Order: sequence, then C-alpha cells, then structure tokens
Amino acid sequence: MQADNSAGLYVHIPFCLSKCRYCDFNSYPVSDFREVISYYTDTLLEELRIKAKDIPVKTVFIGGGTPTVLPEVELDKILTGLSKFAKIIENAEFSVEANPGTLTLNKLKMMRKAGVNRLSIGMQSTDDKVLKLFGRPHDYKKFLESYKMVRDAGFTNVNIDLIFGAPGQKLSGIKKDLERTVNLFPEHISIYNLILEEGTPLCVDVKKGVLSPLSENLEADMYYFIKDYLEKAGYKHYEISNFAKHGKECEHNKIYWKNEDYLGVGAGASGKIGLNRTENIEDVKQYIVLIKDIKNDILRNQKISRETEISETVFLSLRMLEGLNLTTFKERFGKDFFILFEKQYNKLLDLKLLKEENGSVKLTRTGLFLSNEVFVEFV
Amino acid sequence: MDNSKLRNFCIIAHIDHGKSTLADRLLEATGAISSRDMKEQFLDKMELERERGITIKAKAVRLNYHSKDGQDYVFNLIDTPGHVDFTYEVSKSLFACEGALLIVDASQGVEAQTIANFHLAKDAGLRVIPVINKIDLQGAEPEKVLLQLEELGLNSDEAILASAKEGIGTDLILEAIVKLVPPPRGHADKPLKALIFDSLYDVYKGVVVFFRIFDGSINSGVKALMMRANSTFEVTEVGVFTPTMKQIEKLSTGEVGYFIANIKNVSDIKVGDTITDALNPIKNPLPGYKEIKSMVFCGFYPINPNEYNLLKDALEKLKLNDSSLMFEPESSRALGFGFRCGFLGLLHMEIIQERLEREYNINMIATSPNVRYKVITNAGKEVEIDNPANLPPAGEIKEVMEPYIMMSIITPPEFMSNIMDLCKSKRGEYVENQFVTTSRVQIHYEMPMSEVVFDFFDILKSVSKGYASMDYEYIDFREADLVKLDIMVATEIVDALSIIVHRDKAYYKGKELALRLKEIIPRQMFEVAIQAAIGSKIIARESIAALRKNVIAKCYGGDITRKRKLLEKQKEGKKRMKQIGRVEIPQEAFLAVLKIQ
Ligand SMILES: Nc1nc2c(ncn2[C@@H]2O[C@H](COP(=O)(O)OP(=O)(O)OP(=O)(O)O)[C@@H](O)[C@H]2O)c(=O)[nH]1
Ligand SMILES: C[S@@+](CC[C@H](N)C(=O)[O-])C[C@H]1O[C@@H](n2cnc3c(N)ncnc32)[C@H](O)[C@@H]1O
Ligand code: SF4
Ligand SMILES: [Mg+2]
Repeated sequence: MQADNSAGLYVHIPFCLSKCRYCDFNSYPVSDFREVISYYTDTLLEELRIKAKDIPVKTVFIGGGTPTVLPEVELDKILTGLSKFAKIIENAEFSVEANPGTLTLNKLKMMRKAGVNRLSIGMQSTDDKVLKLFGRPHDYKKFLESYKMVRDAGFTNVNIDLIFGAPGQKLSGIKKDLERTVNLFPEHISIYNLILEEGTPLCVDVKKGVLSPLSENLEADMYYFIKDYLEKAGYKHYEISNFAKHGKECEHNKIYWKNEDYLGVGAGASGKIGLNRTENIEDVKQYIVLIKDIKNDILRNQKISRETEISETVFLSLRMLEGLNLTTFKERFGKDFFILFEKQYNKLLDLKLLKEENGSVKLTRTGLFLSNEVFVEFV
Repeated sequence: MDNSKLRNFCIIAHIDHGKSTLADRLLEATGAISSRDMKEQFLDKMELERERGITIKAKAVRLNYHSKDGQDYVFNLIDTPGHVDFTYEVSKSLFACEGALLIVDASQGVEAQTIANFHLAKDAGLRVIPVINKIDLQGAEPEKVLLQLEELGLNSDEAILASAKEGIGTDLILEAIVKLVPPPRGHADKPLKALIFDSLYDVYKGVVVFFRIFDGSINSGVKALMMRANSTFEVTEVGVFTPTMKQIEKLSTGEVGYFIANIKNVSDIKVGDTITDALNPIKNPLPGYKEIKSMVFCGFYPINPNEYNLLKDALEKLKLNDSSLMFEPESSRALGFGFRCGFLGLLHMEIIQERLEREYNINMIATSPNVRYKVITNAGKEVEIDNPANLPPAGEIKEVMEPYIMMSIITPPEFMSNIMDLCKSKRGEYVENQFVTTSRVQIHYEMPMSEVVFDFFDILKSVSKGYASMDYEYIDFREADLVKLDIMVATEIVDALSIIVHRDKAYYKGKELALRLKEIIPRQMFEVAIQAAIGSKIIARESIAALRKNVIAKCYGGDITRKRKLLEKQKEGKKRMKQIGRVEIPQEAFLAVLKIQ
C-alpha cells in the first residue's frame, strides 16, 4: 500500500500510421478509424471525468499506438480535457509517445503549452534495412528530422525506443545503433530485445522459416554489450530494458515496477488501485458504445489476492536494478521477505541469479537476461 | 425373475470393428437410451476413451427387450475393448456370459484379435454369433468374410450382415440373441454363488463390486463372504446398470449387477473372487481367473515426494477398476520412493499413467518401460529383474535370460516379405507361415518380448499399410547377450534411466538416447553433460549448453496480468520436472528410450 491516494495516469491512443510487423499492441491503422476518432476522444474524456475525480495524478503518460498520429484538434481536445478533468499535481512528469513522421511544429507547441515535459520517440533501429523488416513507416533520416524538431521545440527530456535482435542482425549492427543513438544525447533510452509475439507477421515468417531468429547466445551477447556500452556512455541501467541519464528515469513506468496505483483510460487500458486490477475492453468501437455502462461492461475487473500482490510486487521490483528494498517490503506487507521466500532466495542465490546488497535484493548481472528463471520462483 | 427370459452376452472383436457402435444400436432399439441422449459410442464414457476413440474398460448394461415371439426378455450386454493390451478385460467378461457377438469389419475381414477373442469365447463355452459389420462401406466384402468365418469353424448361415452405423441388422441381432444364446443355468434356491468380474472406486459410493450370480440371490442386508479374501461385508445396496447404476431390490440367479457394502479396505475385493452368503456358504469357490502376467514394467514416482501416499492410494483404487495392474513399492537413488508397476502392454501403461494424472491429480514420472529378465548368478542363484537398475554387476552374472513370445501376424500376402524383414530385424526366429484364407496369411515368429512391446506394432502397421494385425503370447525365457546401459547426467548415473539392451544394439541405443535427452532436457543455468555408459566404458557423450536467455523484455502497466500468467505457465512446466542433483529433468526424458527405433 502506498502512503497517499495519488496515482499515475495512462491514456491510450489505439491508432498508428500503419501496423508494424512485430507489434501486437492494441493499435490499428488510423485510416480505418478516421470517422470515429472524435467519438473516441470524447469517450476517453468521459471515462477520465468519471474515474479521475478525486485522485491526485502524479504522472501522466499518453501512449499507444501513436498519440501524435491524432489530428491537431483531437490532440488539443485531449490535452485540454486532461487539464480540466484530472488533478495533475504540480511538476508532474507528463510523457507522450511520438512517432517519426507524425509530428508537426504545431503539435509540439501544443503539447509544450499543455505541460507535456517528456517525449518518447520510437526509432527502433538506425538501419533502414531493419526498419523495413520491422515494417516501420519511416527511415532513419525521417527519425532524425523528427528528433531535431522535438529538440527545436524545446523538449529537454526525450526518450528513444530501440529494438535489438532482429533476424539477421549482427553485433556490429547494434554497435552502430548505439553509437548513433548516444550521439543524439537523448536523456533516456529504452532498448528491448525483440519479442516474437504470437500471430504478428514477423513471428509468422519465423515460424514458416522465411526468417531465422537469432541464437539466444548472440542475443545474450548483444544484451550485455548494450549494457556495458550505455553505462560507459553515462547512462544508468535502471530497469531490464531501460537506461537513463542522472535524474531522468521515467517516473511513470517506475509506478508499474513498484506496483503502485495507476489509472488507465482508453480502449484496452489497464489500471490498478489497491488490490483492484481493471482492464478496459480492447475493441475501439465497443469501447465507445459501452462507455455508458462504465461500471460493468468496459471493465474486466479483477480483485487480486494479497499473495498475488506480493508476488507481483516482487517480480516487478526485481525488474529494476535497484531491486526490492527489504525495509519497504516489510513496511508495505508487514512480513519479512526472507521469511516468506527463504527457500526460493537460497536456491537463486546458489544459482548466482539473485543477490543481496545494501538492504535490497537484486538480480545479478547474469540474472538480468535470465530474470524469468528468478520470477517464476515467486509466482 | 424367470431364468429362461435372461440372456447374458458380450460383444467381442478386433479393435475398431464397431463393438461400441453396435452397442449404441442395441441400447437405442431396446429404449435404454432415448435418441435425444444418444451420442456415439455411448458406453465409452471415460475421457480417455472418448479422446482416443477406443474402449478401455469393459462395460455392462441391462436391457429390456420385447421379442417378436411376444415375450419380454432381459439382456445383460457387456461391451469389451479390442486392443491386445486389454484382452484381460475380455476374458473377465466372458465368465459372466453365455453368448458372444463376434463382430468382424466387412472391409478388414478377420484379424488377429478376431481369432484370439473367438478362441477365448469358445474355450469359455460361449455360444458365438458372428456379425459382419460395416456392410455400408465401399470396400465391404461380406462374402469373403463369410468364408473366413467358416474356416474358423463358425456357422456362416448364422452370420448376420449389419451396419452398426446405419442400424442395419439390429433387429436380426436382437432376435438371434433370444434364439441362440442359452439362458443361464443355476438355481435360485441354492446358496449364493457369484463371481466378481469387475469393481471400481466411486467417490460418493465407495467400493462398487460388479458380479454375476450363478446360484442363489442377493439383496441388501445379506452378509456377503468373499471366499478367497476371506472377508465379510453386509450388503447395503444392490443394483443394475441401465447404463447408470440403478438400485433394485434383489438380484437373482443368472443376473448381472453390482453391490455396495461398507468396504473400507480396497484390497478386500479381488476380481475373480467368489461371493457367497456368510450365513449359508457354499463349500468351494469358483475357479476364478488365471493369474495374469505383466509384460511391461516401469517405475512410477511422484514428482513431489510428499505425494507418495497419494500415489499409493490412487494405485490401489485404480487396481480395483483394473485388476491387471500390478504394483509394489521400490526406491530409486535419483527419484526417491515410488512403485514398480506391471502392465499388459505399452498402451496399458500409458492409460494407467494418464488416469493417475487426470483422475487423481498426481504429477509423476514414469520411467522407461522394460520387460522382466532372469539372471543366473555365478553363485547359481536365479533372480528375476523387472528394474534394470537392479541388474547385478557384470562380474556376478553367469547368464541373463529374456522372455520370448510367439508372435502371430495376420496379413494380406503382399506384405509378407516386408513383415518377415521386420521380424528378422527384431531378432525374430521364423516358425511357420500358413494361409488362413486365400487372401490372408498367418505368420509365426518367436521373438524376444522386449523387441515387440514397444514400437513393433506401429512399424508393423506402417510396413503393411495398416493391413496387418498381430497377437502374441509368452512362451519362455532364453539366454541372450544383454548388457545394462547407464545414463549419466552431469556425471551422475540416473538409475531411473538405465535400460537393458542387446549388446549388438547397445552402442546405437546409447548414442540415440543421449541425443534424445539432449533435445528433451531444457537448458540449465550451466552446461550439462549427458553420457551413455556400459559399465565404466563411456559409449556416447552429448552436452547441453547453458541457458543464457529467459527474459520478458517489456513489462508495463497493461502487461502485468498477462506476464504473470506467462510466468505461471513456466512454473507449471517446472512442476512437471524432477530435480536430480542440480538438473531439472522433464517427465518425457524418462520415456525417451521409446522414441528410438
Ligand atoms: N462405416 C461404418 N463405420 C462404422 C460402423 N460401425 C462402427 N463404425 C466406425 O468404426 C469406428 C470404430 O467403432 P467403435 O464402435 O468405436 O469400435 P470398437 O470395436 O468399439 O473399438 P474398440 O472398443 O476400440 O475395440 C468408429 O469410427 C465408428 O464410427 C459401421 O457399421 N459402418
Ligand atoms: C508501447 S510501444 C509503442 C510506441 C510507439 N507506437 C512506437 O512504435 O514508437 C513502445 C515500444 O515497445 C517496443 N516494442 C513494441 N513491440 C515490441 C516487440 N514485439 N518486441 C520488442 N519491443 C517491442 C518498441 O520499441 C516500441 O517503441
Ligand atoms: S510499434 Fe508503435 S507504431 Fe508500430 S504498430 Fe505498434 S504501437 Fe503502432
Ligand atoms: Mg469399443
């Protein structure tokens, strides 16, 4: 449990220019939804009005999909609505996900004015061949233009998203990506090992043998190369896939990893308040139609047990390199971590996947890329 | 109840010839099941039977039939399984019957279990009525089948042409049962004499005993004495199968039904035992059933050692429902405490394993199956070995003997040479060939049982395009050049993986086994060596590289529930693995040897 009733706020925009070949997010090509966008944003604000009433919002994250694919009026509507219906506390971190090729100077200005102070841009790769394989609707040059535009508009806290482990990729390719990324001086870098999500075109190609996946050995080598490279470049590795300059860690995402409260609005958005986990219906049109029955139909409510909350807190906290603070754990759950998990901890200590350091339990270096082996012990 | 209006019969055949489907028609025609409640192979109720489309357990049903002669009859029908591994179910059922419907698929003709089951029925003194089924099929050749039946010594004039699928011939079959199957003999006023032919453990009712009365009658209140077990119970309920259990007041001479008593100890009930009235007992029990010999053995071990008693309890309860299952406690260095179990074949083993897991919720490991060996030691002692790990050290062994079987294969002549090649490659010794009919040859080979019980049937099917069928029986033990092949995982011998093989095949098997295990055992946090050895000589070596990646790269607010489920699934997988030393070994590893040809 946390001390106050403040929460993070996630706003989902389920539209993109086009669908990337690896992506299984709840997002759809915007061209198929032109006529419903304004209904969608209305619905979203209605949901926000009902849900966010008395809750102080300490971080905002507008994500997707691609929020910046929205027409300017719609983006404006959301930003205005947010300031009206949500009690955003002063100096709150306010992030928006932005994709290359969807930004305009106007949109950027609008966001700055509305208090957006952090932008996250999906670059994924600096290699046009990889971008093509990923089905991204932009090339590296286009990304650079967008990035410059963001900086010119005055954003001083920018994240770049990258993916490593594309079929055919070599260590040298990753090295190039890193060099170029670091030279852009982003405050934050998220770099994910490619997940072949069931049913995505990329995954289908791999299953059919059209593409061959990288060996796990190479992926592990890449991962540790990335870690060492970015740390040397002055980034702090603070979560399995996230690196940040000093003081620039993403506060909103840390809410998830500390298993604290957050609200979610929009199609498919999830929220958690106390032991209540909610998940909105994913289908955009149904979401719009069903908003009237907000209490019933658009929510899949799940009351989790105390044990589940504990186990989720453990595996989420361990994602962060600072780990799980033993004192905080005891204060929150009234129980001693080592008493609860003595057997599991000893086994993982023995396997050199987990360690204790400065009053916290943490993944070891080897444990990072084998973290599921650790987490399964706690679910 | 008037004996002369009773007919007890079973349906026997080779596998898949349509016994259970015919039973459906009989159930329908006699109104036991309304067509609304009917589903295909109604009596195959067990989940495993439905999934696999085969009958595993024999099942009794009582039917009321109004005959064309104007009289009402009561039928007791027993549907039996066709697979070789369940022949014991057939023999048990025969003793409760006076007649048998021998079903033959009109397109397949007489096959190995047609002959085997026919002889069983004849030897038990049953009146056999041939039914040629599936005449609706394109490839049906009823005339040919009629000839084959005659050559077996059956009266082809009595054969009924039928299609169980389309309901053709059902009326004729019902009338033939009335006319040809003799009513049971026996006297209602004599003391109770009844045979236990099956039993089961029901969660609500406890032990349910299935029996056939030869003399006397039984009703609740009777003090029933189990003659061989020498235990007495007061009967609390008697009833019949309609096919659901239905309580009735009394069962009399010739009838088939069940009783329930307050039976605490499942071992008090033995299939084949004779029931009599403790207050008015008969002198001599019925001969009962022949002791059955297990053909295949393997170890069952709970993955979680705390479930040992659960497993024991489950085995005892399952044995009530399957008296051909044998088990005794044993222990393994690698797996701890478990049971050595004996089965009639590999399918039987598989079914028991699945039933334990499904019906009793036990996670367990089955070790690689083997036959029983005989060892003569240098000291002149003879020991039977049903667990390879117990083979004495090579230095103490004078001679190892393995069981042989007489194999009988029935096939169209064009596959003869394929089949003979197969038998030869399995160390078979040719005995004879004979034509059963012009289109069917019966081939006899003497073969080591160990070469037969595993994959022989599958290969036979593939070299004969599915046409050949087989049957076998144990003959004797013969000396052979056999060695123990040990498997070491991370330098430790895993006793539960040891197998006994012919020396000529040891090298190949060792290599293959190591390779299989490399595929099956998941990567661990460290490199794991897998070695195959005969004595101290390493004959094969593989290594499993260390695991380096198992990660969820992305985990944000919307992912948490899904990712937790993913982790839970991984954990479920781990629960099905046995930790041996530092290595986690999945269940399939212990059966890897079966995948080697
Ligand atoms: N065409 C046709 N198919 C039939 C007929 N009778 C049974 N079958 C099919 O044959 C297959 C086997 O039928 P079952 O009744 O399960 O055979 P079974 O003899 O009980 O098999 P086991 O109990 O496993 O030995 C099923 O697919 C039936 O639908 C028939 O008269 N005609
Ligand atoms: C919430 S997504 C959407 C952000 C934005 N629409 C974009 O594509 O830039 C955030 C990031 O997740 C990562 N991602 C999405 N699908 C992935 C996959 N299958 N494997 C690894 N990373 C993935 C990408 O780096 C993406 O930028
Ligand atoms: S990766 Fe981003 S841009 Fe691509 S489809 Fe997914 S959400 Fe849309
Ligand atoms: Mg059947």
